[in-house]
Amino acid sequence: MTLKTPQQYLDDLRQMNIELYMFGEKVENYVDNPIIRPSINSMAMTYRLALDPEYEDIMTAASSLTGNKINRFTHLHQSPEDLVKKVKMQRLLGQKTGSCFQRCVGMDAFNAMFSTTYELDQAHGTEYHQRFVEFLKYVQENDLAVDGCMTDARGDRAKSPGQQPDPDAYLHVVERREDGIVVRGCKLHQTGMINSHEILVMPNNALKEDEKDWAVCFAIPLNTPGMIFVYGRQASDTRKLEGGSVDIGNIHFGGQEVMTIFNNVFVPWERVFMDGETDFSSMIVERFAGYHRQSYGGCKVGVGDALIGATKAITDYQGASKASHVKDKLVEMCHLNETLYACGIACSAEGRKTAAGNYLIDLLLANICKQNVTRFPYEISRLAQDIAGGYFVTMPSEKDFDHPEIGPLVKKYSTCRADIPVEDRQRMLRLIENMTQGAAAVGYLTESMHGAGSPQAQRIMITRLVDLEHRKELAEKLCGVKEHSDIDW
Amino acid sequence: MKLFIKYCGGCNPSINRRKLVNEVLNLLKSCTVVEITLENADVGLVVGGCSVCCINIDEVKDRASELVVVGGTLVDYVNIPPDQQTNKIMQQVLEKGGERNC
Repeated sequence: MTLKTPQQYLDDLRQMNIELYMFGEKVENYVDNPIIRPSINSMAMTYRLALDPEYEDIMTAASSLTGNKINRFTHLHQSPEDLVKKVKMQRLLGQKTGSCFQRCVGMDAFNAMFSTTYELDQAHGTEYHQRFVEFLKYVQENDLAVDGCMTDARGDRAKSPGQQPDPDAYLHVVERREDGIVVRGCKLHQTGMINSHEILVMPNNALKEDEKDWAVCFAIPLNTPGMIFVYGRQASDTRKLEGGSVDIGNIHFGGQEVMTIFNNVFVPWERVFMDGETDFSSMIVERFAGYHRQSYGGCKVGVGDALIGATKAITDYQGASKASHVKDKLVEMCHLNETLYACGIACSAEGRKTAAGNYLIDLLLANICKQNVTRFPYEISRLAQDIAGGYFVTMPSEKDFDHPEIGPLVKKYSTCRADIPVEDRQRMLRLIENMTQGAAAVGYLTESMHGAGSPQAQRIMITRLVDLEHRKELAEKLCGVKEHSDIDW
Repeated sequence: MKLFIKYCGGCNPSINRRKLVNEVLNLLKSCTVVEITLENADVGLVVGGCSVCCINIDEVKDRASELVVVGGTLVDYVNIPPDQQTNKIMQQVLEKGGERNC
């Protein structure tokens, strides 16, 4: 089997016996939990669209490892065209779910790990690459969702992993045995973690030579003994427990971030893809971050499309669509959103082959893409709130609208155009609230800021990747400080 | 050794391509006889100014039996420190051209 149905995916999750906590309580049936289920639906959409002939061209690919048809989320990019299709797939899913659909981190980790383990083996004579290939074949053949897992708890930010008073601040090897390793630590902000089958762990940052215990990569099933998951809160999350649907905003879909604790977890050697090779930790981080910064040029654009659509709808519902400043603001939202898309496409089109054979995005352009993503969704959201008016934060609850006595009055004074049902306006305003400051703003705004690295991380990479001396020389030749050797006529 | 050299267009180079090629040729000439040719080469040296290396590799393959691909600081898709790049390219050219390292 190479393509799962959404139902098969849900069945897989039901069979997972994981140790999950939320609101201070252990959660037994998380698949049907109303707070968690929308995020599962988002992931399920990655399975659903792959089976639909209308979307299969961008949702599926031929595996470079087996030749079989696989979900693109498990694919190793084989060309710049593959990289472009990845961005298009992400935009599509952002449009369909209006939220973070979570499966990108695994895909980005596969591609970073595939090329890095190859080069690591070349340098160190190790055998990690073949182990990783076997793992990835298993993932592809079983159409698994995998959480790419990088961000550590990090303790004192001024200290490196080996200098921390608590060595567990960064996940590390605590024991090496004949049959494998034992690790301890915690990864924060894990997107889609409990909606995944497997966890693929990578180091958080560049490491010093004496920090070998922190230079570790491995993959384990989610239900491995010692794994503890603590569900992250989102703004307005408990609205999903109120029984209605209007005030939720996005009634089917959502994102998910999970604190993931590795409490003395055993990993067999065949699932270890790096152990102690500190000189390759920065390569993994750079490549994973690069791929993930490209991803945001697709997924956030798709969510932006949905928000622009919601803004257009509310202008129509409220009778403001002919105002010239409203039209202009919608144009500005589109301009910003398409600029992000252009960056995602550009870093893909400029992708290059790696020594292992898969393709890597242009790292500079991917960092430029993400730097814009740290800003533009905020401006798009600001414009959405500007156009929507203030009622999306002052509007009474849906229970007030449905109240037998005050309901008719609430509806009367919430009506704009007489031909538009007041509930349509309610729903659209709640969606804008959801995306710009509610549960989905976790994915659309704060994740845009910090996901795949905070803004300063991109600026450091841009500084490293741009050749300013070359640009200086261009200017010096133009103004005569240096001779222009090309002029020979 | 018959060598075919193909440059990218040079729109945004992170290396000085001509300087690099001259250094490689000087090193090669100290080891073997080098003939620059436009076809039937033993080795095609592809010189891209940045990691994208946008040269049409298939066209170079028609003119040379083996390829050495330089893209910015990458040599055959592996990052090489700038101070080692000339030597690495020379080694790759000699190896792929079937000649012993000198």
